Amino acid sequence: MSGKRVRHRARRRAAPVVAAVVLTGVGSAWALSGIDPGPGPERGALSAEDATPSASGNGSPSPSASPATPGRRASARAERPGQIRLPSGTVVDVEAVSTRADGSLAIPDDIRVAGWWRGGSRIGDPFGATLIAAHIDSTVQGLGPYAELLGVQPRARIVVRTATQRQAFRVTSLQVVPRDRLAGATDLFSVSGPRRLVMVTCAGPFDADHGGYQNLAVVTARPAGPPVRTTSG
Amino acid sequence: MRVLTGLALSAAVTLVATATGVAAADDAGSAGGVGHVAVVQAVPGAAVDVHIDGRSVGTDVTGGQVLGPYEVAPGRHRIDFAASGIDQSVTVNVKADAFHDVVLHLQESPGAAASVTTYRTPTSPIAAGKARVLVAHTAAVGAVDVRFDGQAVFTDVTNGEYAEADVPAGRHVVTLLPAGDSSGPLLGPLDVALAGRTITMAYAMGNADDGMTLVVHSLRLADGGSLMPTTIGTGSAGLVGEVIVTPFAIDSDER
Repeated sequence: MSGKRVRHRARRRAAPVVAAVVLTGVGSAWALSGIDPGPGPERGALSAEDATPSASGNGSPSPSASPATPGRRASARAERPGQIRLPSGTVVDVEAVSTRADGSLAIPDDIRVAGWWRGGSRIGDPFGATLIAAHIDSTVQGLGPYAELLGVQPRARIVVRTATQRQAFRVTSLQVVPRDRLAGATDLFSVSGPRRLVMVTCAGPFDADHGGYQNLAVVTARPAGPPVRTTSG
Repeated sequence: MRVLTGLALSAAVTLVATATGVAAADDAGSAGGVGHVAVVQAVPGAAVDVHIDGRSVGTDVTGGQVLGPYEVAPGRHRIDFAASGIDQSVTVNVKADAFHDVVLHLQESPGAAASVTTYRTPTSPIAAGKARVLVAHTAAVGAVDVRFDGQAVFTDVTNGEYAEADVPAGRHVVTLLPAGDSSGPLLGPLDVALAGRTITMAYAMGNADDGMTLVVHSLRLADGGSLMPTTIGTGSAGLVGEVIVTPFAIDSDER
């Protein structure tokens, strides 16, 4: 009994109260009646006792039922960036990073490692911006590999690698955005719109009394082709 | 009951998160590690009796209906489909905290027996502002392309195969076309609205002559966190403070 109660509690916590509509007239009747997450067992809930073949073997699958065929993927799955090769040929490792509570992106302290914002698009996603940012320098390590982006040329080639794929991009723009205006430039990082790579690092002027670098350099690059599978994996 | 074709669905249809939520990672233990099975009847014109582990979950289930999702203990379970001309029995190995769709559907060639294919729902957490879609080819047509907002997002998907992607939450126009052929859509254009942090599973049903539909159901996904950053601090030593940065923008077609 207590097992069922735990399951119902967990289900209520996980179940939002919103409507579902299906794209067939036949399905809609099910959808409307099936969404009620109210107390008590949902229609059709099978208890553990009903659904599990018993230890004694009664109710175990009959030999005439074969394992169902799993559907095959039609395309490679989207993957997070793992490395980025800059126009000079320098390769920078990439880690997935999140946004802190104060709204700042938690870029790795090591200037040789870039941060991919995990809320953005992955390699292989059909839309949106893939944001990869890195420190341009640090007092401990000096100048970082992203410094070359301050002088990046139009159409410069950048390659992003993932666990099993790589994709080439060509630079289409370099913008200077005041750091305190970033919140208004969210289209730079949007998951909407055409696929693009967005690389961000700091740019001058540098004012040590007012937070350091005052601007951000934002490099945007568009895909030179689709992601391709790599044999190196 | 009407079966709505793409042409009839000119009005916007909203797909929002449904009855079932995917437990967040830290909920998995307290949920008892159950699995979930939904059964999709995607054979138009058939009235099918469905049993799970010998227990009836639907009689005369018509094409387009989704049964469940049902909570089941992890392990192997048997699903039986019985109708005039249909007699399919399969087992499904259900994983803890996983969602499996078991779909009865036609094969590409007309007259071939109905078959059963399972699709495991990709339930990894997802950031706000994104929605996940899984589209499966479970219709009696050849290879298809799927377009979102006029752009091909899945190409050359054949019967039995599926494709999935994370897309921006919000409104999209979805079209199914014969692979490589943009002239005559098989289904759509359909106006759909995808809620953020949900996954929608869409199963194509029907054929080119009698019309095609999508049988859909959705789940809410766990929060992948990470709001859009409002500040990026990327440098502290002032080593390039004097470097002049010259902005530019070229037409992306020139690259």
